Amino acid sequence: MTPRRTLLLLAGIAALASSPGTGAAPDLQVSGFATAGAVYSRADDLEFARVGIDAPGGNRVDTGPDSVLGVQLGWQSGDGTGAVLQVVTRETQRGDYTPRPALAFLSHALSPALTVRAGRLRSPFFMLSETADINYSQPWVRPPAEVYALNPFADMDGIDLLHRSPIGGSFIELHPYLGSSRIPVIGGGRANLRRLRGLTVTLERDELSFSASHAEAELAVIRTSQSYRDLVDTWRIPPDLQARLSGKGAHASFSSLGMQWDDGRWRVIAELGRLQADAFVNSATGAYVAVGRRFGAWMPYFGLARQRQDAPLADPGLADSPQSAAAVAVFNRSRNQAQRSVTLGTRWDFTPNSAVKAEFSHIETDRGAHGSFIARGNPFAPGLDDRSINLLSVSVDVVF
Amino acid sequence: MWCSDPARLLRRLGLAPMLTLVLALWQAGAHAQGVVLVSAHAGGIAEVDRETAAQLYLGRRTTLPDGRGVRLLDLPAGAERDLFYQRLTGKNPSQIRAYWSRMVFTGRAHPPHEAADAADALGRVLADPNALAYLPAASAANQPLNVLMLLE
Repeated sequence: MTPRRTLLLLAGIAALASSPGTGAAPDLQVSGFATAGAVYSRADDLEFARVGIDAPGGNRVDTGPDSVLGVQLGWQSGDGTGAVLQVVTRETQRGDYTPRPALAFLSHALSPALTVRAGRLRSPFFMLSETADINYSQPWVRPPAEVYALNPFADMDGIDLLHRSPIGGSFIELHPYLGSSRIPVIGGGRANLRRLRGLTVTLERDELSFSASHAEAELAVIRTSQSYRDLVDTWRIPPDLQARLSGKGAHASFSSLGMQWDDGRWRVIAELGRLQADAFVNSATGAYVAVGRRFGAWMPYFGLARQRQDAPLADPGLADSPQSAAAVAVFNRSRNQAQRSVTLGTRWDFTPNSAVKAEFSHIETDRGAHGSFIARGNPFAPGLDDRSINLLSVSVDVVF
Repeated sequence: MWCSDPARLLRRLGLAPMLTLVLALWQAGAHAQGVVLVSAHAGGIAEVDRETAAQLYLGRRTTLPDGRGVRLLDLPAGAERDLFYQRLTGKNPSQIRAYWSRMVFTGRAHPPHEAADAADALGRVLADPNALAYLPAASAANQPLNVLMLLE
């Protein structure tokens, strides 16, 4: 969504909110959320990144991956029409903090159970995707990268339906959606999803909830960075192989199965997520399980996570020389996030609306994978895969 | 024996149960008070069942079964609010805060309006026939309100 369209929507919300409605008084609400976070690792040659979401840092202590600020305006009429504008600023793929609307939609309740929304929506590809920035709502500093780095598309422009109804003692939400999404690519270029369509089903029953989702789209990744052009030119990557690295029209799908248990004392979250793509990115499956236990205002937690690669980004066998095959192998390695991790941390709710978290992760990247890390220097350097890296993260989350 | 005076000992032994009893009665009094879900008596919502009330305060619906739109009021963070949500939805304060942050920031629901205090909530529910509020039972007594539910 362009800034102009955002401004128009904002003006629309303000106009609706200030209009002398026939029914109840205008109903405008302001709220927000923020995280100040810092990540530290001792690796000299690799730096942690929410791959595809933030820019690589450059400092040993990086505040880019987790820090975020969001402000939301919500408006509601008495007749079931509403609007929400949520503007989020966090480190972008370009390394700046340009604010971006994460939600900017008009909604209408077609029936008590059915709501239609149109505009900028959060992409719900995985169980917790829609709350990936709302760190206060989750036990950990950030959702496990093994699943959540499979989807850098945080939001989409389109239309969705929310059908929410009680059935027996359960509550079921059906959430179909259609749209498109567009993000910058780190270093230069852009990626988009067109003809995006998906369905998420969530079932809540007492302490337990289940979620299943599937989405399909046409994926384009146009790489324009100098380092990409250097790679292609220097190693004379043949055109048909180039067409696997950068271009349009690949088929991509995102699938997830997840569960949560929360009885007020124990919180368990587990999920299996998968990204499959014909080209431009690799295909991979991720899974995690996290367990937290509340002791008053404290909640220590423990998590295990794993991502494995199902198919590399491009087949080096398509190269026409050993040099270009080696170059493609390096490119594949830098785009392979396969790793396993163990995380131990604690959350402390020091006021009703704020929490401080500290967590330690031990990460082992796979052979042929950079995992959640980006090379600080030359990505061709040996020894950037099959690593054992410790990561310390702290954050303060607030909602207001 | 640390006390050689039998009369003093008796007094001391008697004092402890007495204090316990007084404390228990006092706590029971505070507990029995509870919170009540209310609407304005004049033209206000006449009845709401517990399941519907829970769904309203979980942001899962915004209307009554007859289609009437509802404006929800919240008390500020505190013991009454915690008791209300715990009894109505079964969620403790930290669960309900995390739950509502997910509902609001994914654009699924608008949070209840937070009143400044119980008196403000009372004033607002009396002024708006579509409003629902919860109040400490004592502050709802002798007011022109429909008491829809007692949660204690």
